[in-house]
Amino acid sequence: MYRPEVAERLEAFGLDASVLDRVEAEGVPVSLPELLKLVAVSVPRDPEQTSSKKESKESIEEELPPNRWPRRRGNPRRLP
Amino acid sequence: VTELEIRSRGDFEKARERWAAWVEAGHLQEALELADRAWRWAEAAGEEGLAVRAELNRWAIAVELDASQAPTERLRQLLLEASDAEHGFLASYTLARVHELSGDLRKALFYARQARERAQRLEPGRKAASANLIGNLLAAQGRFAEAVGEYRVAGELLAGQDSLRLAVVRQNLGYCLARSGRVTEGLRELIPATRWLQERGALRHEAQARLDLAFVRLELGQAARALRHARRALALAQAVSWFELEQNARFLLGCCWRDLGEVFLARREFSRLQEAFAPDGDYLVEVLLAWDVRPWLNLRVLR
Repeated sequence: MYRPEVAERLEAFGLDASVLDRVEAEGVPVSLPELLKLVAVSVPRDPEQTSSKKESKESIEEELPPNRWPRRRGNPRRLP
Repeated sequence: VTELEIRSRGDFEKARERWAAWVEAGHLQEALELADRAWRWAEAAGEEGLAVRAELNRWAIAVELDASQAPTERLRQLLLEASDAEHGFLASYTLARVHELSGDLRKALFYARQARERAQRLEPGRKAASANLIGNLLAAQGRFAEAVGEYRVAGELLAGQDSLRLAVVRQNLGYCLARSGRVTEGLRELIPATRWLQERGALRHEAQARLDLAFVRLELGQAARALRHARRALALAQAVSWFELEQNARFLLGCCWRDLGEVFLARREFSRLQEAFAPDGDYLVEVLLAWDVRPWLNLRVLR
């Protein structure tokens, strides 16, 4: 029922156009809060945003120097 | 409210007429206070039948003010004990409203049908009220064509009256006709009903009627006309502090601006909805700008 250009625009924002299918599948018109909730839960998290967050975490980890000190068990303050 | 003393059956009847008029005019708090006083008098005077009538009336009014406090058990008891059709009608109608307002449409429809059964032996206004209620419950389930049949029955029972009830029935009929694809017929009912409601200062009802008109005008691709109604609906919803209606008005306003190519203004309305309903979903505005989800909105369900 939706036009292809609408799906394209949604995809340009990183949104999965299948949300349209899922909302249409409900069939019965619903209240505004239900409709917005339906749209909200049907739209997956922005994949670009998720991947950029992952990348930034990885890049921070790369910047850290490798841990040169072996991990010690027990109370570190306790003398051998 | 304090002007009217209730000391006799005659006073009780005068009070009943007055609270019924107040309910009709939307002055529910005043009506509730008077019905409460009548109930207390009837109980103290040992007028059992009048006490039940007043109690049922006070619950019917109280439910309209706040359904969350409704004594469902007590109402069921009153329904079982109902000695006449009027009491049975009031109890089942109020139970139907309680379930409707709490979102249980299946139970609401059950009690609304009971109300209709009892209304057959009562005056036409009661029959019309139960038909209108059944219509509302069908419309809330998206069964618009079936609702049209109920509203037609109600409209015929009230024909020729110059009343709020008839205006509301015509408004409901107009919306459901339009949602059933009979848009022109729908407008023929909606427009005079809205005019009536505006002239009589029935603000809450006019707000809903304006939303209906905005919806139908958008359906016809007449965004500029729809905008006028959506703006008026928003102003009225704010004036009567009706949150759910205000959000519907904002949504339709956003749709109007979007269809008129005013993306900035559409974004402003949709952003407010996103803040209210999906604070973390910043994509919602883009979805609503890109895609017209209006056909999946039912203005007869608010929660």
